[in-house]
Amino acid sequence: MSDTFTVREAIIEAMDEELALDATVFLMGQDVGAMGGNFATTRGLLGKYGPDRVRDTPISEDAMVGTALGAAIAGRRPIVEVMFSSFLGCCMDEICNHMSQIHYVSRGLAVPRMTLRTVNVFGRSSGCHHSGRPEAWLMHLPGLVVVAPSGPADTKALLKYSIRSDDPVVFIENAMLYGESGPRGPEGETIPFGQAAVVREGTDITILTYSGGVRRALAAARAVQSKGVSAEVLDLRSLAPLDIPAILSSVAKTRRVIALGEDVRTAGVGAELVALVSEHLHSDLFAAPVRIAAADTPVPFSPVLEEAIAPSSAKLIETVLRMVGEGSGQRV
Amino acid sequence: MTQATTDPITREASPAISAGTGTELIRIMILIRQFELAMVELYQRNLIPGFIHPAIGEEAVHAGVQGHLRTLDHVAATHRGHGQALAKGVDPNRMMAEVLGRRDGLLGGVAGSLHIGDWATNCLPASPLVGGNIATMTGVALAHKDARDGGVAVAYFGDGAVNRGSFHEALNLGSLWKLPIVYAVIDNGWAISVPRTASTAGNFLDRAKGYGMYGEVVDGKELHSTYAAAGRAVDRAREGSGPTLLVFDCPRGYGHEEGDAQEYRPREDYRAAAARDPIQLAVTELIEAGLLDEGQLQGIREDVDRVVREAVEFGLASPQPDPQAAFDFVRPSQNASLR
Repeated sequence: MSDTFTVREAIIEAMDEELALDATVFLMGQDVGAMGGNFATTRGLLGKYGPDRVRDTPISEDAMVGTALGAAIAGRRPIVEVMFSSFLGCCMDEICNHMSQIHYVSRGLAVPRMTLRTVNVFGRSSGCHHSGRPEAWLMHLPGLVVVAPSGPADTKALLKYSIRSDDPVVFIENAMLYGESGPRGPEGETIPFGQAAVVREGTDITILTYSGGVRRALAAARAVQSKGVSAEVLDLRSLAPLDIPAILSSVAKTRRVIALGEDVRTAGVGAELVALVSEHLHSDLFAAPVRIAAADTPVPFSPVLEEAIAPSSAKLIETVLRMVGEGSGQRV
Repeated sequence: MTQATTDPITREASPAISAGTGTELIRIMILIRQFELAMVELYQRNLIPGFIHPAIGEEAVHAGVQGHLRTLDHVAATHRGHGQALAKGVDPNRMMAEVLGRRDGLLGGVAGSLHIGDWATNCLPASPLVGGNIATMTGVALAHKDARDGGVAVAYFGDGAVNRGSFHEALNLGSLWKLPIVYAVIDNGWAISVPRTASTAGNFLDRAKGYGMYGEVVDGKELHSTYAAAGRAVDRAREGSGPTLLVFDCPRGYGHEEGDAQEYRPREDYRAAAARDPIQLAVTELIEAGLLDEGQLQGIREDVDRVVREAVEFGLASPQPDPQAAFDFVRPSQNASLR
């Protein structure tokens, strides 16, 4: 086995290992069987586990998610793949009224031990019906766990944890990261929910981000380094629950914060992060917290237009430099 | 929409009610009726918060289906689900406490009438969303099939649900995968104020046919019909022949919910529906068939009156929930130690 692997390989390996470990685990979704997944993230699993455990489904998101939930509360441990996160709109009733609430309303008797895998696609000219970033909708549903990792080792460890967990998990992958490679984690590693990772240490400013935002943040951090600015990048990894201690501890140290996401800005993930930091650390901050996210528009097709609404690296770098310059050594 | 009763299954297979079963089924029906009448009285006294949807007139459906179920089998109730739950064996005391929103309720007052559920009897927490449990129960059936445990799922829903997308998606999947499930439609003819004739094209049997599954429409007020049809559907599910769309024709004699004066509907229409009382029909029939006598009936009535009286007393004596309970069980991992 090579020392590095891709996010795509991480996803296949995580499911492969969990399918092998636990006979109640099964996978269902569109094209997960013979085709090996629309993004080749289920390749090889049908041949290994057969059609009862790797089930192709009709295009019926509502029935897919509802059926997974029913199977879960009756003792199975399903993984259901919804091909694009835009399609969550087709099964939102099952997610928001059933999957997220059944444990609460049943006082813990119905255990929704299921993982809903889905994919954000942003920056791939997929048009507005295949470019969803629904993480903030999902964070608004008490009961749900929302995971959105970036690198391969985290992806594998978090997916394994999600499948084993009794929580109802929406596991958000990012099609732009499937080919990213990185070092393997320890054999058999799992990462619990609610644990962020400092992916770059810094002292002047904290960039809070997740999924596709991580590489944008790392690129900006490298760019400002030559100007003597030290930026810390926190990969949140799970959005619900959030790692509040890690967020507050990083921002308490740097006293400046940017919440970076690829989702829609208004009432987006960044809004929650900025509110959280402001409530706890307002008087310690050197600069007003800033949200950088995609514009409040649907996602257009043309690469030029899509780039125009994206959280741009130029804006990110400029904002980092302004905030650090503004707040050098004194309170705003 | 007038529908002839079409039965694709041979009639010889119809299970008939036996003596012991007859008394048990009539007891279930009377219990459901008396429980709901007691609940309505509590509601009128403003002791029940929110709103309730009695199922008076549907008792033959619940009893007829229950006559074929085992504890291992799952049902999911609807917003009109007290009878569906009581038939499955849910404890009347804790159910009344739940409807009252009290601490000793089945689900601690979190669920109420609309989300009645009970793990001990495999009565899953009801979804009062119209059609809300059809896909979930399809998944429960998938779990039974995969576990090869012989279990069956019954998804109850009303005629209003047959125009939801989840109905169509789930029926397709259930039939495609030959799952052990009965899709049990209680067709009361009304979606609140909109009659089925103004909401639903075609007929139910064609919908069943469209998904390649058995369909059957039966008189939902006649116990022998509901019992026989449910027996065929449950047997088919249990033996691996796949789902049935079982439609119980059961005109609504009362309002959609308690307090609904039904001003949108001709009075003679609901009076006629109410006049055809499934309990009276069943009693007459069972007595004529020699499966029940007056003495037994009297004994059942007295026993049920006591059970219901005790349920009301239990419910009213139960304290209000501890407000802290509102914060429990939001997420499985949050309360892992409690399970």
